Amino acid sequence: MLAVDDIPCAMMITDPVGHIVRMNREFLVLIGGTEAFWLGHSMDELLTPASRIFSQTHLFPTLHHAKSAREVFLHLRGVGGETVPVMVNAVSKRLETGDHIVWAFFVARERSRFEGELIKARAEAQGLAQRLAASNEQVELQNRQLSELSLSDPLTGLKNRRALELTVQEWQRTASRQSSVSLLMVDVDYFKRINDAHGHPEGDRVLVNFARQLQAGARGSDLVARYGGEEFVLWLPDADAEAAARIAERVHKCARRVRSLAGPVTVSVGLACAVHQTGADFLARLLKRSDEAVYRAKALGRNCTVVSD
Amino acid sequence: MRKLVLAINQLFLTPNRARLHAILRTVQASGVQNLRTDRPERTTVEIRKRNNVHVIDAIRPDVPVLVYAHGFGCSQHMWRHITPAFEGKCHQVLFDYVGCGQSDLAAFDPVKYASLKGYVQDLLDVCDALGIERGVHFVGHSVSASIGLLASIERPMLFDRLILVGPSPCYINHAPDYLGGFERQDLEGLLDLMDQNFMGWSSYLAPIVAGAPQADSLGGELSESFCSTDPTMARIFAQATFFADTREELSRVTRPSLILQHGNDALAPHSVGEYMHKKLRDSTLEVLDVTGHCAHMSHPHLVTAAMQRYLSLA
Repeated sequence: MLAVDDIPCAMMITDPVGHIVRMNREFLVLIGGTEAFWLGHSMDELLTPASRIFSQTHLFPTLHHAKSAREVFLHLRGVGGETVPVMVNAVSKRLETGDHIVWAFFVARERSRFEGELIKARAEAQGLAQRLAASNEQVELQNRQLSELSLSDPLTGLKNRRALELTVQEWQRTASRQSSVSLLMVDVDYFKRINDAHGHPEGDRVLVNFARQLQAGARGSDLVARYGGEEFVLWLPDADAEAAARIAERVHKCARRVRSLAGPVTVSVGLACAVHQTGADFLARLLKRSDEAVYRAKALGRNCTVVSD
Repeated sequence: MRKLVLAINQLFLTPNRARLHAILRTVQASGVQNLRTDRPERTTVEIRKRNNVHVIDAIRPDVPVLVYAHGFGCSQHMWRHITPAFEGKCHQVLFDYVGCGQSDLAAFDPVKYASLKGYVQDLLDVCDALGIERGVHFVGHSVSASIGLLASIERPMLFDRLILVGPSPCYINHAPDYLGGFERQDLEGLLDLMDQNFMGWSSYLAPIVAGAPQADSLGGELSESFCSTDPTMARIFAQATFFADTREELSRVTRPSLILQHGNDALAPHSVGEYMHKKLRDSTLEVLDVTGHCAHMSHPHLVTAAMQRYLSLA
């Protein structure tokens, strides 16, 4: 018959609240002293203060509830006062003398060291991940700034609003005081219907084709920009009202050449002319006038040009 | 036209305004400073779900309300040997702090719950959600004793009496005036020990999500096991619990209390119970013949008897 003293594992029996009833020889090798000395003492005395708290707040409640606890990691106070890391299994058991807890302790020095390393590595990885996230955020911000700074519209390849602003500022700086300029605001008629009836890819296709026509017909000094969803702006330096009206006619022709599943494409055009000015709101006022003209063109039944007065 | 707009505004704004006033009244009554009006208002249903609130109703409406608050490392299940003794005599309210038991882990805010204040708010939220305004007999174990005391300072009208099982206002020794039982490095060792004990848990070793706030990556379901607590949240709760020092607040408590101390408690030496008894106005100290820290689990009959005597419910 195997005796507990022969089992190569530290074992102990306590009452339900942890008073020591029995200990095997292997256990005494770990903690020192004799069994007679420890009898009746609380097992708390075998534990480091931290382990005592963990035992009282986690281990004993678990034993009360589940009647057993497995692989609990604790620190014992060793024979020379050193800390002994142990894995603990415990079960609540009814023995002949009443309710008890049977404990088994496995010394886990290597495992403890290895886990310590793992925890440290995890903390480092967490820190690294946070730094990575921070620098990703930085890159994203810079990307956003870059795209704001970029000058072309990704869908049509035309210039964008910002390019228009820069061009106008440049013109204001360099053109002579007698120079005049015209601005066409072009809005595709019933564009929403194209999208709704045939989907956004078809809408995009119409915009791209129309943009290609506009760009092909532009003079070198003109600027063609996509201003908004289905709105385009033609910036026409040195074009007076008459020249601009001719260009507007060409714009209507460009629209008619675009083929759409939704039928013929037409546009409404607002035309505004101005002589050179230096103010910061020069472009804004020109845009406002041409925009109002587009509105009137829409009100007149679309597919026409209205000249702003 | 203008009149119409005004009327519409009235129609839509009035309920909000009424609600805002109701909130303001609550806040004024509770004496909360620094009102943050941008704080999302939580509904009763949300709080009940967030804190996994359970109510054991008595049939008669005019009986006392017992609100139980669990200690560190556990959940409301720890009260299951106590509640049967009060069935029918009291309404009983049980809940889990956010981050513990079956609470909604997604609601865990690592900043809010890094101090006891966050847990005090949970307790007050639960009472508010149930429409309880006064007369609460509070039963708190361990750190929840401190949480209940702090809540009673914030809202004295809400509480009638406080029953404190194994309380300690401060676990750290401040020799020579105060002996909490532990040195700071002991408690730091506890946090390391928790790391080592919970490291096998899946969520602890789950992939680290770059940039995701801690709590978000921990939103999963916990296992059903008793004392199941997410390791990261448990660590934050442990820090809040074991490094708290509420000694200064004790003299501000105005509600009467019963201190149930364990005769032999590794977490709270005798001197701690005596200290609390001295500082808490209108307190009763009763030492239970119990070894350990969870008399309500190991010796529930002693705890229920003491509660019944104190509340005159025998």
